[in-house]
Amino acid sequence: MLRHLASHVVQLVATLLVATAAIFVLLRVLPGDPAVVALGLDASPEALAAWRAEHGTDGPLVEQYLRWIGGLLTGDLGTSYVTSQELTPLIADRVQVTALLVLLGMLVALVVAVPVGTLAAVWHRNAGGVTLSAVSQVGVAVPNFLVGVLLVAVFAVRLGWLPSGGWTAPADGFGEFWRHVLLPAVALGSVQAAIITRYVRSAVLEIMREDFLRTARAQGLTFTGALVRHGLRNAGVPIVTVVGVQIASMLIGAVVIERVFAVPGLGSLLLDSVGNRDLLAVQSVVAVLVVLVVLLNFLVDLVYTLLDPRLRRAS
Amino acid sequence: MTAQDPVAGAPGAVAALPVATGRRTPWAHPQLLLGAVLVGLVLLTALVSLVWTPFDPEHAGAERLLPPGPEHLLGTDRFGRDVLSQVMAGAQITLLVGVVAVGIAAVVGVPVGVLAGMLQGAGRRRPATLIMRASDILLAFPGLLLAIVLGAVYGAGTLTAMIALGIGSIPAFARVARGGTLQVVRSDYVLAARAANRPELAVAVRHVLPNIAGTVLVQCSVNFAIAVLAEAGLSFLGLGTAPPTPSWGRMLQESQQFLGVADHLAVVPGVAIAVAVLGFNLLGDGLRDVLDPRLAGVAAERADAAARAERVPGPDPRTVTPRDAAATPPALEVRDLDVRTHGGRALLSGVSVRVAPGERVGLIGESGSGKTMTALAALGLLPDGVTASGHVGLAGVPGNLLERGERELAALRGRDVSMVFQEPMTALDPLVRVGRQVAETMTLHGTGRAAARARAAALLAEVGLPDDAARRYPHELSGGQRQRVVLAMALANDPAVLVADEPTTALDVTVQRQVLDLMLRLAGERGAGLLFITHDLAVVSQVCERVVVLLDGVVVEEGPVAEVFARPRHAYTRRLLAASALEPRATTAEPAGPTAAEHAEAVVRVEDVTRTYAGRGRAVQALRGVSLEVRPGQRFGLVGESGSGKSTLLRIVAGLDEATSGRVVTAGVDLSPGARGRRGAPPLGDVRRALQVVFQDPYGSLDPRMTVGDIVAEPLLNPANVREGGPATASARRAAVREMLAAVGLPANAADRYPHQFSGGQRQRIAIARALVCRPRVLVADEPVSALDVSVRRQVLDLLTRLADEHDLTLLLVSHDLGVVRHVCDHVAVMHDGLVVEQGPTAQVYDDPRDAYTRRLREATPRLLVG
Repeated sequence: MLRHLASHVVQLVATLLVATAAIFVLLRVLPGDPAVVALGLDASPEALAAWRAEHGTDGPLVEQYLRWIGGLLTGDLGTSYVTSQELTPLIADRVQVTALLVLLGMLVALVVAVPVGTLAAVWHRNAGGVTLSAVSQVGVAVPNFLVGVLLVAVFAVRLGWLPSGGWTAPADGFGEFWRHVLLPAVALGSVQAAIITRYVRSAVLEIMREDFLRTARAQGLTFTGALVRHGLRNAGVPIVTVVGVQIASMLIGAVVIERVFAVPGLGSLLLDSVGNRDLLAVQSVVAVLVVLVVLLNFLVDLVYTLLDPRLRRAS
Repeated sequence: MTAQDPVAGAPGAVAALPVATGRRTPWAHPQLLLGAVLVGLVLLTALVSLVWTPFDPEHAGAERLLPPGPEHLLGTDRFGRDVLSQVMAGAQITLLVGVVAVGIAAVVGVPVGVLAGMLQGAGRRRPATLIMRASDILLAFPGLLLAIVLGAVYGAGTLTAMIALGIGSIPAFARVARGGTLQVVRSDYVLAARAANRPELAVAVRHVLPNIAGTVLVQCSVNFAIAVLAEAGLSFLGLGTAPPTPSWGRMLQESQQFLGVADHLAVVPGVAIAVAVLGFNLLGDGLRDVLDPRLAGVAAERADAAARAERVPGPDPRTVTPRDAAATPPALEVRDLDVRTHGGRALLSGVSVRVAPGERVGLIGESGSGKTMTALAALGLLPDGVTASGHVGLAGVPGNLLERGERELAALRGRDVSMVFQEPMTALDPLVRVGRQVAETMTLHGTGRAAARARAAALLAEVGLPDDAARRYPHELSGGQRQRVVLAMALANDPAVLVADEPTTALDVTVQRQVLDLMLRLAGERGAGLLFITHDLAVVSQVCERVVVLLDGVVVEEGPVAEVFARPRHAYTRRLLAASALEPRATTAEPAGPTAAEHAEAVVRVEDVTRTYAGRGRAVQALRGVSLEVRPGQRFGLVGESGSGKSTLLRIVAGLDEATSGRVVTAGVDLSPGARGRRGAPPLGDVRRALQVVFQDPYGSLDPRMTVGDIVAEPLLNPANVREGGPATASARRAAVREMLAAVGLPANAADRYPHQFSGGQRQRIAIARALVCRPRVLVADEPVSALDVSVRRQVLDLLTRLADEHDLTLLLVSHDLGVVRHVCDHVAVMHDGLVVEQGPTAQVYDDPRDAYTRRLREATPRLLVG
């Protein structure tokens, strides 16, 4: 187990180094000297040198990269070249917003997907099951921003029950927080619900064919009893990993939803920074997103091993 | 975007799908059809829009925000542009982005995955892992994020989006290709191609690519859908296709301002995106269904059944009367049981079986005869898609079990009647400790929790498991131990009837003996009636008092074992008995002195060979110093149980694996470790021309996508395999294949058919034909009959013997079955725990074993006791 964990951690660190290096090259090296970008081609050499010294873009690139990595680790991401804002508190603030949105979205998805997917599997031979899988199939095909747009059209524009966008932090008023988070979370979660429903269905179908379910029935459990007591737990192993992978993909999917609902999350910050050509901010936000995605993938591997005693011991 | 495919995208859920070449029309797959129609619709729209749209999609008109009407069928947008024309033109961008993104991902990802898979298959794990790790780093950059980043640096646009989405999908393709390749590379048919001396590249091109093509196609379709969604998302964010080129995502984004005023502006592009994505997803799912290997299995089963039916004459089975009328009320009574599929195919017709209290009844028949179906029907465990009619009665339970609901049946199962299954490795819940699983059987039927736990521990001790067994997980127990756990569960509530479905078939011979003895003792102590299902007549003759013979869902004969086996009435029973009793090979009187064969140079010489596998954490010694010699013309048998090292030895002798130390010479070629050099320098070709292999599993050793003719001809494609004057041209090869197929007793038209159209026995004949087409001197057969039914087993063994005589072959037969070896071989070596414990002439080793293990093996081997 420890060996296994150690090899996973080594792999995690290597992935993070390569990924951040790629971000650094893509966003810091290839676009050219940020001093020139900021001050223009006509700037005097002295002004450029002063700018570089101020923003720490002097010295060899490797050193700059290491300094940036060090900043990522210690939580000092520097100040934006464009807005001169401190990036660390800004990003930390935005991460909270996006994390809340994604977690609530996943909650919505799971509450729908686990029962519906299980039923779709159990009823896979009759009309009910076929209908459920057809609906989930269609659901997967709908872009989440379309769901968002339609939700706004109905609940904000037509009915006027909920605001069409904006954000209130939970600390600033719990009721307002819910009014603002509900539509984006449902928009983000509903498409996930369709996707996870399909995973749950195929996992449960797979389990229903397992010999041990038949053994459980032979010792006196009903079909449903066997499915609940032995089936779902086994089906849960692949589903948990899927949930991890999907949370990672929702982090990215949230970029679009935040735009629809004008939610000030990480995605909005990324898009605004791209719009402002604020490359240091883009670099930092992308790095945070990539680190989160990689960490989630790492956790998925870990949880997978923990859930299944066969892997626990074998590793 | 976030859409991922439930199967292809799930970690570790990657599978190569051999194409079922069954003649199924696409109409049988509505998903595929609907998907194809939707995709075709998008494609057609894009094509039409290239030459015609109702209006110029980029032309701003005076009439703005018009609702759908006669002139503008889908209305106009805020600039007065025709929405229908825009949607039509938008299909172009959608398809373009999808094609380029999927193209990039497939062109890079598939070769990477195939390379990694082939390296890993060749045992080079380190480079394989490195390649996959490198590809997996891209997982950190989802396509949408990469597109935003590249857009920020190089400017957003269609090209950036396509490239970014393509790069983001590379790992998905690499994973799918690697998984599929690994599955193909580990299959026996690739091993057979290697044994036939085919170069790695030829293996990749002829076997791997065609067999993973289906899976990759599915992935293409799924990723196309992902790309369409992502492109729409990017355009929605203003980071995709630049205006004024029409794009569905941007149309949606622009519609946002007019919600409530002009909803059609949002609905129309939304529906277009959904239709395209749905189409590609359905197409992917449909393709996966069509390529499902399970369909090929059904075809093979039918071929097996047909093969049996052809050969069996006999009286009308319905008229068979039992020889003994049971006087006591039965513990289990199955009467006139019919089981049919919903399609109307009869699986069982009028099956009647009685088990008296404490009686042991054997239910015998070959695969597909309906033995298991009978047992499942008796317990109400029939699978979906079949229905039973007739009567099933249980002592002390009034009425017909077939008419009871699941809840009532569940209350009976495990208490009044219980069951032990064939496959112990999968019969237990892998996530629950075995003690709890045994205890659950009792708590379900009313025993208190603490009492059940104590009793479970006692039961596990009673079935001979170590003290700590209750706290172990199933994977921590061996197959035999797991079967003991299942037995403990089955007997926990002292049922009146125990149904055992091939309970020892998956176990080694010596373990089988122990489990059988245990089962008989425990059932006897409890006075439980036993319905014992098996294909093995020898086991029945030792276990049961009465026997029921089943053929294709019909009882053809029944009666006391001694009587039925001594005087079988039905032709099928006679044939089954004749096939089961493998008489020893007729030994030619051996001269006292050294024979001519013993003077000749050995064809295979193995001296003090070891083989150690580097396992995780600890090394596994498969061979611990094995020496033996096979001389020309010998029929050499290698006997041992699983884990004895016999298959490892075989692979080393055939040049498919390398020894860790010792000396190996096959057909005059030195295969000793080190002698092979770095790049297989010694002429492995010489070995493979001289020695060919027939593998165990006739279902896995033939490439499902090649015709039988191509399969048999494959070894001839390597010129090094062809003897001088042998078939060198295509027509000569075809003639050689025809000749070989005739020699193994297959019709000439077999060459044009596919493996799945043949029964197991016929497939093994095909494998033998492939092995002999190069006219080798040595034929190695690895458990050639262990996957076959009894009646076919004998035919294949006799064919091997005959061909060995006719072609002047040396035969090296590997088997777990002492009886099979005794039937075929004149010389035998017994392996145990990586060592040869005894060897000598078969008759001597069998009749007068010197080693304790050989004695144990011989005693454990069930013999057919005929009255």
